[in-house]
Amino acid sequence: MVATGLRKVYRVSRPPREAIRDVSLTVGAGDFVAIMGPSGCGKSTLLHMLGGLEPPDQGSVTIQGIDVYGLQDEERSAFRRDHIGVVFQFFNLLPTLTAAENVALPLRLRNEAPGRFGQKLSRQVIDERVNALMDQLNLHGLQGHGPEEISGGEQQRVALARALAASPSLLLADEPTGNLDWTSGHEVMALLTRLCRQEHQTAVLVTHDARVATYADRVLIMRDGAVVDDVALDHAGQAADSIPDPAILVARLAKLDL
Amino acid sequence: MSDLWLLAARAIRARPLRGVLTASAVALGIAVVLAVQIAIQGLTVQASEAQLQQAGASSLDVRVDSGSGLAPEQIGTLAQLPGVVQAVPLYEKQVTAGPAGGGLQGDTVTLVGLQDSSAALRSVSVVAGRLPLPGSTSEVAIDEGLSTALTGGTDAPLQIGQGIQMITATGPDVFTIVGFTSGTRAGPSFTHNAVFIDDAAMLGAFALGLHTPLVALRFGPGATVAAVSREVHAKFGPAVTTYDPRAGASAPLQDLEPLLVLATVLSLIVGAGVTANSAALAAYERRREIGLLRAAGASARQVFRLFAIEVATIAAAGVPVGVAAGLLLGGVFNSSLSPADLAVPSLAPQAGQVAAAIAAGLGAALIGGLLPLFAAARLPILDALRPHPISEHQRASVLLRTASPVLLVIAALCFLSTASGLVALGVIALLLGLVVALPLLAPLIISLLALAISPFVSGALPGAAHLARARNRTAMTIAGLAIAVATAVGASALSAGALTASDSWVSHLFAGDMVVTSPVTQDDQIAAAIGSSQGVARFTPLRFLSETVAGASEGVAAVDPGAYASMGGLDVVSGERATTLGALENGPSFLEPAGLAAATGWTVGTQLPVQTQKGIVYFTIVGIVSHSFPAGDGGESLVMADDLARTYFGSTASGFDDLVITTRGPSTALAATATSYGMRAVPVSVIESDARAALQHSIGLVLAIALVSVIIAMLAVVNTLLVNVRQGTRELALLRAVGLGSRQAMRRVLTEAGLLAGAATLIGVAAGCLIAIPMLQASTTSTFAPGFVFPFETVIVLLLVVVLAAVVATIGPARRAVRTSVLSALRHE
Repeated sequence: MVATGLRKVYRVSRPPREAIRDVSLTVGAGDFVAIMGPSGCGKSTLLHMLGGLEPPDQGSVTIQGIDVYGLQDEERSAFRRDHIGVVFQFFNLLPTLTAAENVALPLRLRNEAPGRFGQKLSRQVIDERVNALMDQLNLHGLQGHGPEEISGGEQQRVALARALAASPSLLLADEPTGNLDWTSGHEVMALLTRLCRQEHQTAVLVTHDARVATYADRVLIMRDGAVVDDVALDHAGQAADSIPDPAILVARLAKLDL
Repeated sequence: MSDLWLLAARAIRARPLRGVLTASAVALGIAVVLAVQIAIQGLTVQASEAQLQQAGASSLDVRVDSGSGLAPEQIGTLAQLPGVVQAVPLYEKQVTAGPAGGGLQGDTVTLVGLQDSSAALRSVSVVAGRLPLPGSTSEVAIDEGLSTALTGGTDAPLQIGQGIQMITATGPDVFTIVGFTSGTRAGPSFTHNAVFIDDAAMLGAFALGLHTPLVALRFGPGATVAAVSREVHAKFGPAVTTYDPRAGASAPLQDLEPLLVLATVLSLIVGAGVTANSAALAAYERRREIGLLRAAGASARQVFRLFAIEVATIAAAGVPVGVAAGLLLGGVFNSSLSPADLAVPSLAPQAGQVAAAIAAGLGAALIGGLLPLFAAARLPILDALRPHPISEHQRASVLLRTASPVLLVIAALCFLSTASGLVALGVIALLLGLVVALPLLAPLIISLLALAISPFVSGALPGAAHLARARNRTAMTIAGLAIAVATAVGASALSAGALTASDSWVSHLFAGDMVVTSPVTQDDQIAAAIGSSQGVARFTPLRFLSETVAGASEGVAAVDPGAYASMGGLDVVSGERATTLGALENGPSFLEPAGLAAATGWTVGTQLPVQTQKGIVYFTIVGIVSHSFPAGDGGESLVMADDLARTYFGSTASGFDDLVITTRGPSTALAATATSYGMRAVPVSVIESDARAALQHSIGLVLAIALVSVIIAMLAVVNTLLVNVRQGTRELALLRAVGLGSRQAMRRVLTEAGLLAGAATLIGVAAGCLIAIPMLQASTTSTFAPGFVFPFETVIVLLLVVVLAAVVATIGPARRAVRTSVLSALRHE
């Protein structure tokens, strides 16, 4: 993914506020990148722009050679469905669907509109894919449960499973642990780490928590709409489910007065 | 099941009450359209059948109103005309009749000849016994009213098998009663005091002085009314008139049809509004779900399709219920609108009617429901995902704000016309103009209402502020109810105006407070006897005639001008009343009803040739009255002085048909005297009530549709209130966390419901009054000019019912919301 010269100004506030200032970045296949910074620094806006959810005022986002904002709305929806998975902080699941049905949603949506980016999948293929994902994310046995019947951590894992259902080339997560206690948050982050390391899933994560950002291989630090630092973290030799040490990152943040 | 269908089914199941409310609205919309079609069709078929029954086998009637009518050779000529296969004369004769053995005195009855048990090719309605056998010269069937009238009102009315005595060429002869007939339904020449006898007797014992006013012609294949009429006039010139007895089978609801269509269209608009409201609420409540779907890759089209499937499924669920309710409602309309003397039309809906009702109801629902979904599907993803959008102040769309004045100008232009179609269009434009202005208007009205009730109801002002914040949703909810209330108020105002006009008509006709009516023309001694009853202050007779005026048959009422001058009655509109009534006695002259003046162009001073016993005499129109007495043809009759009527029309004008009486004190003795002569004493107030009932009968259909619209609109209100309560649960919990009591919270929710319903009703009442005025103008004719009367009772009932229903519907969910624990409610999403 290549983002070039991204700029976004919110004009509803007075004076207009520049949320993103000339941000350019490249994320390689299989990279696990965290974007962090204080509240209001523009990290969520940047993530939404990378995910094709928020058109920039200037600049472009190219994923697998396709200019995301050069696509028509209908095409961009299909591209998002097939290439980008998104997990939000809360309200990730459709309340009227079971956990398994929530996971299957992108595949079902693809089936409703087979076209340029997708092919129709049989029910059996969908069920197999959903069950495999749920097993992989320790959600076995929760297939028939509604969102209100499972815990917050389980809900986020179901959301993660749904984001991965269409085998997206890019996974975006906006404060995925922001609504969870530390233990549940660690469970989610460990899963994400394992996916990136073992399955070579490309992921971009937004967080304001240095402990969460430390799970990533690379951390982009933002302030006032601009990327002010790019920190590479070496996790060589660490197990995917181990808790990484945030000391290096905290030290870099301290240097930046953050 | 397709994947979007699965999502839609789950969503419908998650909000069952909303589904039921919306499906009910669609069902009621379909029901109204189907019921109106059934009622119009049923009553039209009924009227047509009645007309055909009256016409019998006659294809063309040839009439001569003067002299002894058509001569036998003329009848022979008619029978030889091309295309005519049968020419049957109607023989009539006025004879004196009384019970057998009662001497030579009796009442004047009209003897009507039968050929093969029919009269002038018409069947005769027999209510008991049978008609005289063909060829019989000793049997008669008499009008059922004569059974008491001929016996002078004694306790022993004439029975089948008994004899009546009539004067024949050879003196009094006795005839056996073999049956009773009913009223005047059998044909225009048959009078209510008819005695039916076979032509064998008619052309035998009664041959002298026979009158042949009509010959019924039956056509062979290929003959047309126009062609044969031309032939008749070529042979006989203007001395005869021809009349197509099958023509004029008018639709009974023809006059009401524009109003019915308007009310039906408005109820469909209200139904569409309910679906729009429901769809908008669904989209609003699930906007984060929409955001999530879009983020997961659903296209705007897929989101639209998902919600469209929901709306279509719910609307489709209303179809069978709507068709069943429509059949039921149609049956009720048919039975309540059918004239008492005709059978209730059978309920035979056609497939096309059902299909049209479904298409209209479903179409309106889908149009209403899909419009908000276009906007919902195109909602920016991140806006949709934003939590608690309820806190945002909604803004009134610029497009809608500019559309309102344009629609109001269109309405004003339409109201310049009195053509019913344009007025109906104007009403729709005005109501739509009002609806699009509601995002601005509704918060203002609600705030004023809240200000007015705030001294008595605490929480009114915060409630109003809450409703004003969600101004678009508030407007959408109020819109349907306001339109429905406006329709009901408009119909009520129309009804009240018509009733007032009707009362004024009746009270202007009769100069007294009681009317004695008789089934046969009575002689003057009986008038004197009744007039001398205890409690009678004054009386004046009325005699109704049918005379040939300017070559056509016109109803003529003979009255005593002096009595009317002193007792009141007859509203003279063309000049000074006393002078005009005085002129009526000075020579051959008429008072003319305004409606007839408008139709014929006859004005004061016009001289009209009238066929009298003295030959053609020119009568002068000396005045115009706003209304006159009903004539046999459904119009109003000319009025002349009774003494002059006797002068020019001889003994046929003597006696009385009705006696108008002014009483002093109880009228029990008068009623007893009238009954003793086989007559009925009816208070004028009862005649007014009957006229009112007839009007209410017709306009009641429009009012019924309007009330169904109110019910449809209430479904939208309840739907919105439920969502308001559900979404307000978190806000209520926050308030309770900082000290708001449960009772206060409850009062706040209920006040909001009352404000919403109250404001909708007030706006609807104002709009109803506005649309009533042009509707009344469009209903005004030369004979009927209803004025605006504020329907106070309807407004009070609507206000109470609507506000109470809204509050009652909110109690359950409000109680649940208030009882929810504060912590649980704070987690509520």
